[in-house]
Amino acid sequence: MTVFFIKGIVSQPVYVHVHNGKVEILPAEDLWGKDTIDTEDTLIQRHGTRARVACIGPAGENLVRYAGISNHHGRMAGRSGLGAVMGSKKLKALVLEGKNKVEIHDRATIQYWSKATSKLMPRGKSSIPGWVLLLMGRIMNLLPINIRIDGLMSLPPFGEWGTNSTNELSVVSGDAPVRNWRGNPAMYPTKNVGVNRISTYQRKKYHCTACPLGCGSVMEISGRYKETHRAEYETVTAFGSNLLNQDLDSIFDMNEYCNRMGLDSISTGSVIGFAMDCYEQGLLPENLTAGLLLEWGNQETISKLVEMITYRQGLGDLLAEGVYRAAKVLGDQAQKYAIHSGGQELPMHDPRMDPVYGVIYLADPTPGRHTITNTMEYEMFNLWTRVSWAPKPAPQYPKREKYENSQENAAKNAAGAMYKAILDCAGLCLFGAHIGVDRSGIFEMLNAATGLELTPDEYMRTGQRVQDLRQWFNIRHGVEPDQVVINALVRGQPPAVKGPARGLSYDLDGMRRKYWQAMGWNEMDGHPLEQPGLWI
Amino acid sequence: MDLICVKMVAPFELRSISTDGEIAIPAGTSLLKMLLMTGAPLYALAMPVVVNGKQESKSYCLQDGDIVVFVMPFSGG
Repeated sequence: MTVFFIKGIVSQPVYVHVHNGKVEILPAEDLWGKDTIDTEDTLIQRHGTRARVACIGPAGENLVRYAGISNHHGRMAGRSGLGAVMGSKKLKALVLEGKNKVEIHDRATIQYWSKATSKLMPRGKSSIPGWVLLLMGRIMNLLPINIRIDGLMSLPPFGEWGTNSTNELSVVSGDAPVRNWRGNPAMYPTKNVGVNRISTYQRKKYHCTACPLGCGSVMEISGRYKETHRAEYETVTAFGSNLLNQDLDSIFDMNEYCNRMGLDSISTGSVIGFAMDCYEQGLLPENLTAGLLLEWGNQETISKLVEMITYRQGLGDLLAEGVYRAAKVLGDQAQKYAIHSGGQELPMHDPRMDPVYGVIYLADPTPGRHTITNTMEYEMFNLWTRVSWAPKPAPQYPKREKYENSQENAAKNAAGAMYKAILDCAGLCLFGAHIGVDRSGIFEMLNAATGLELTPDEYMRTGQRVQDLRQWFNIRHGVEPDQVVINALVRGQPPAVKGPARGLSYDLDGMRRKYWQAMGWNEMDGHPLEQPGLWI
Repeated sequence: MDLICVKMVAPFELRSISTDGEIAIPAGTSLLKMLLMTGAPLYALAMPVVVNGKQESKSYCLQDGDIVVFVMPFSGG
């Protein structure tokens, strides 16, 4: 595996070109200002179709704090503002070319597991009607019990519609934020974002390299762009229910615009929701709004604001700082509308419905992430079939158990986070891991790929050390884990008075302490008990 | 009577099923009949089912080695 460390800042834009291990830094003045797709096309034309490009768009160039890095024509490494880091270095792109083969220790074992996994994948087009998914979601919502979902159960709708299979369900279940987290499902009819409607835009499906599931899709859209990747659930919700915007054309247009400009669509939708709340409360000075009507669901305003953010114009300059910093400028009253953890805008999953999100949003070294672990994903991972200490959840259990600050829940959260660190280091897909560690043979494949002979428990220890390093990285840079603050609303303070989250709250500080303990960290300050030592 | 073995992945408990989800049933049993035989809840009859990755109706005649999965949406992404 090759890792690049890029130090320093240049005065004029450049890109890094790596060809069979030879590194060169080339001028990028002609690329500066181009959107991500134009940039990628230009570089592939220049270096050949075998080249692979990771680049930033104008948002990264303009140091928008939630600019991301794009590859494959708008697939984004979206969170935490890494695009702004590249922009600060005047680094427009990284281009990789090479013909070296990836060495595999034991190809036969890899092929065995690959075939075994492929056999489990859904075949043919799913004819499950959208209303069935919605009905099942409503039933699950009404039940006082939590049903342990096997990852195989969710594959058919996921293979057909990707993360969009949950658009409607998430709104009615209370998982999806409505109206900047202060609304409820009754405010947002979901029909326009359901799978039946989404399907009418679908032009072709695609698979990421070697993936047997293939949840990707290209959508045909009208307006300034002809097509876009199917917007993920996060984008549909950030620009949909979160802003009370029911217009799917507008949501897809924003998806493509964010991809091209290199913006994190979660943070962008969140910051606009924050601005709309502030506008409604009279907290935005008139000189900033400049006649713009920041009304809920106003598609023209949403579109204009995203452009202003990208180029840091007027109010957009403030919003480009993210909700945490923008609220500091606007004053104390604006704080409660800034939905973030440690300055990171929260993803589109409400911790009041699954407190594991709350623990991870608050306690992971990268706060505000929805892709570390949660109750449902832990249960899909089937870690207890391989890892000696991973707790096995009951097939059905009372929903209130999710809210308990127990050692067992903390151990599940720690196991999920360690496992996810392994997946990330191995370059594996979180969605693919839903079929379970026993069926995907991930530990066996890692041994086969590397020639190591580690046990699952030893791999989990590796995942723990990865989390240790991420935590130490923050501490070294002055970010103390116990100083990370999360918006009180997602703790259920004050409790919601309407909707599925009505009356729900939980002991987030206590759960964080137990989680840190389960990670092998000091339960009070979050410092790993083991010093980084030789492996840092 | 010839018996076949199928594997069930279901969000509810069934009678006569092993801990790893396998069940032995007479050859020629339909999916519907098997659900009735194993005491599946009524709502199971309305749930979409895939067999070996392919969506099938409840009249599907089960074969030895089939993997039967009840479809449930998950909230994530």
